Amino acid sequence: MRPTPNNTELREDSALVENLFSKEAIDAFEQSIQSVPSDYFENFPEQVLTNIRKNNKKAKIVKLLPFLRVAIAASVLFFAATAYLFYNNRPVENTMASISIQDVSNEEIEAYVYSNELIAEVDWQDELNKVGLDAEQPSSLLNKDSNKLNN
Amino acid sequence: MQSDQFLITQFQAAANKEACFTELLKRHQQKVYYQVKRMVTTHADADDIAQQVWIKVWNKLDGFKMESEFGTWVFRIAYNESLNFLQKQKRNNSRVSTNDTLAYEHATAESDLPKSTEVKIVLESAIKQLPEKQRIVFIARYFDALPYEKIAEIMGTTVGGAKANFHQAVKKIENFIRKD
Repeated sequence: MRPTPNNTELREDSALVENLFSKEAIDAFEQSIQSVPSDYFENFPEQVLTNIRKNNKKAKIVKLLPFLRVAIAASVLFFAATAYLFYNNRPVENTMASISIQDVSNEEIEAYVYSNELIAEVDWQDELNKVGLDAEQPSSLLNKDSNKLNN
Repeated sequence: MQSDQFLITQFQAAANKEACFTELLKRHQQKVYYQVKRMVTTHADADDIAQQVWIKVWNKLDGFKMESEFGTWVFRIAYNESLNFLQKQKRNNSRVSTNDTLAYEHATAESDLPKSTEVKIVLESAIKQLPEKQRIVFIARYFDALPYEKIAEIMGTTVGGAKANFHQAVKKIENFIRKD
């Protein structure tokens, strides 16, 4: 319902409008404005609160996003730094490679060669035995080979 | 019954926020809804806008300094939301939609509609053809009987500006009706 004009200026302004429209028209207009679905105002507060709660949840997620990006970037940097340090500080497996030949004495070299010579000789005899030849008879080796070649 | 100021203070102290807000909403929801509906006329639009208004009230209530009455402050938000809606509707070229034009033409032609419906449609169409700010001032002044000082505060304009808007609105409605 329209409030009753309570001062002169308001009454004058109302009269201007009521000159244009009948009371019937204005009442019909107001009636259409006042018609709402049943229980609309009873349910309206809960609808508003539901929307507010939904918006609050969305706002929390949006507020976390910048921190999430920073956290991801920090994790990537951390792993990259850890991997770099890990691979750079690994102990060298082949210590022999880092030793310069000048640091090795003649006696050590000779001992090494002698010990490997014996191993090499044993390996060589084993290979010859496999093909039925004898390392003690080198000439037989040569003749056989040359005969093979001539034929 | 606790005053609006008390409920707002409780809300701002984060004590029973939802309960305080719900109480404030229940006190003012009908006035807000009717004011919005006079401007946009359909229930669906009025409902959408009213929901937006109260969500904004919730978000801004912590910063409300109580320099004006709570009702005036809410109406200001309601009018701004309605204004935004009407301007958006205008941009979409549907300020006076085809349906409204047909309804007006049907009402002003010889028809079998009840007389009250005819004049209601004419009045609705007359209000709808007003520019948004004049529409708001016209409705606030005539239907809500608000003083010009309050209208000026709500609209963020001067008292003289609000008066001018009202009288221009009345003249435009008169011209609209006399066109027939």
